[in-house]
Amino acid sequence: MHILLVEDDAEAVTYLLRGLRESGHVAESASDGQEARARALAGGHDLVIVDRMLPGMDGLEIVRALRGAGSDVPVLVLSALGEVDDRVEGLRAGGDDYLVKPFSFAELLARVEALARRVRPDRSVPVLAVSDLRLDRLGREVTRSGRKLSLQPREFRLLEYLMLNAGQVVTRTMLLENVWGYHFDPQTNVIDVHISRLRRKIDHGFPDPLLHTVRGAGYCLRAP
Amino acid sequence: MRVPIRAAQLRRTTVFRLAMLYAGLFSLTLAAAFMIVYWLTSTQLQAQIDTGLISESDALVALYRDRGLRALEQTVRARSRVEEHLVAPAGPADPGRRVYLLAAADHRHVAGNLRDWPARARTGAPVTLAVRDPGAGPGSGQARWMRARVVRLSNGDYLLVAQALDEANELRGHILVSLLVALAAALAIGVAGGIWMGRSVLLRIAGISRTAAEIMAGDLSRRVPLGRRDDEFADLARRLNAMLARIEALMRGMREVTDNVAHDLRGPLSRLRGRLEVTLRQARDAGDYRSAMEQAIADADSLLRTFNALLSIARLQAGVRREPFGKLDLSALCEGVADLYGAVAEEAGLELRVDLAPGIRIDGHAELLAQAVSNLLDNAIKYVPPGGAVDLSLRAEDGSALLAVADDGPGIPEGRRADVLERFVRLDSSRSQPGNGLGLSLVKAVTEAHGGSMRLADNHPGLKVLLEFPRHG
Repeated sequence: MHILLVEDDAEAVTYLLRGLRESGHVAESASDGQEARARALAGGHDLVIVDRMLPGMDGLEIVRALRGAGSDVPVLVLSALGEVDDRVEGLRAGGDDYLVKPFSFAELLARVEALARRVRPDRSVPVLAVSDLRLDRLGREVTRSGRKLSLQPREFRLLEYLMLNAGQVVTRTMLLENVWGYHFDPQTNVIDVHISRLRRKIDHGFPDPLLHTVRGAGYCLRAP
Repeated sequence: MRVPIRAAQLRRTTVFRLAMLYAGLFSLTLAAAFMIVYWLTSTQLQAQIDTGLISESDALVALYRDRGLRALEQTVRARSRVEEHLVAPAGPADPGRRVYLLAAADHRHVAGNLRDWPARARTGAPVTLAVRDPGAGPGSGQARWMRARVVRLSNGDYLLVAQALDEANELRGHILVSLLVALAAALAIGVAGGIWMGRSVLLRIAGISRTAAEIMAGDLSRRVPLGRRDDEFADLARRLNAMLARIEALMRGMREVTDNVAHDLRGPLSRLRGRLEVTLRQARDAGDYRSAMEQAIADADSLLRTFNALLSIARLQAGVRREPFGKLDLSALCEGVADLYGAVAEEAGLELRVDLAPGIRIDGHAELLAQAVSNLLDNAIKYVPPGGAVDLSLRAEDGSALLAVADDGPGIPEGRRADVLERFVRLDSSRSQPGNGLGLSLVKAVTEAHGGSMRLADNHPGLKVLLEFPRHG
């Protein structure tokens, strides 16, 4: 994936570019707001990561310029402004996701990859399947190897989100945001509890586990 | 402490200036009214004299017509004599005395107490003339202002009847003096009143300025004295005091944040640094480095979490809100958070009992409130031993929404309940449970940002946290 990183903190750029490149992406960076806007508008990127706090410019201007020019390239907004209102503002400007500094690289990478998937047209598929696990989005039914599993509504939404992002790392924050709609940081890891209950239902009694814990990052649902 | 008030200070006060302005305007009006009174009085006095002179001279002319020149001459002499006798020889000249002169056609004296024909006397309406006083006694022989009427008799002789104006002038003088005295008194009262009012305002203001000066000098605990009277200054003082209390609280909050940041971030930071340093002191295998780095990341994460919580609390307490709160369904919000924590409670071997009255709406911020409820549940679940129960309840009461999280855990001794609302206070000094001790402080800050109040109570046994929010509609 070809990623444009708009960030003025040179040290952050160094480690982010290194991390993104080591994860198999082509990444370039721009530190000056005007230059970044020109390069973003020139196109050719699969994803743009924009820091809001650019010298003399709000990164959201670049996002607005992109959307104004009709570009639908996925944009991940980075910000030290973590208030909910800031997030709303960022998404309103046309950002696809909003990540508050400080964040872990694993979190950034997971979101970058989830955003890349977002452009693939699998959002409206009525039945999701990973290996022998099937989730019927209309009938709200989950089966594994043809055996019907009984899931609570919230567990169903959790599994649905994991299956939509099958093969990708999904972080706890992403789950909290997308399944529960909360953007705060719960003190204990409530997500882990929900995951382990879901895991009991979908993996218990089957030889191959599908739901994996990715150390230091989050979870991944993938075919064995 | 008495504050000396300088004249310049007094002159600058609005109330003094207003008093001066009003005293000036009032004096002007009064002076105009006095001038009218004075003018009317003197006109009236002159008219009275003229009427007297006209009727006297007309009577004498009628006498001449009926009884001839001789009778007139006798009468004029008799009247003149009477006038002379009216004056005590040594007493002051009668201010209202009349003079008579019957003169021939060439103005030669025929009869009467006036010897010489006044140069400017003319027939017709009465005129004011300077006449040499014919009488004896003080002032006689001097020119005096008189009103005079001259009539020409049918034989060509002249008859002059005149009256001294001294009496009228004196009366007018009296009137003038009393008017001027009244005017001066009004002006003096106005100025004195202005000074008095200005002074009293200055004295009230002086209390406020003194307090302000003391606060600027660094004593934030000073408050404006309220004064004895309950007036607009007392209102102002109360408002200022409320503002000062708020500023003091904010300043104290800031200081606490700084102290706490210093205290609670410095420790973990030096631990983090120390661990990394010790790891680097010797060559180790990759596994050791990896675990040291993982430990360092965990340390950094916990530091960041503490830091973020501190920032959130500080922001909430600073009361800076960029967008107004909207209406939200608190019942649904609690249900959502209960849904998130139900599983956690179950895993911990606890029962989460939820009792929510439906459709309770308040003005609020969903994300902050969800975090507050989540912190309460998290806290309860953390401290209640397995087998216990946690109750989340919400009900409406009068104008407020009452949210309660109760548990049957160890609770908090009454004397320490206030402490746990302070930042970083954790009752388990062993730090056996994860957390930064900011959970309840954040709940309190969120509640207060919503205009609500937070209370800790005994649940017999256990802890009951009560949040009361003003209800919407």
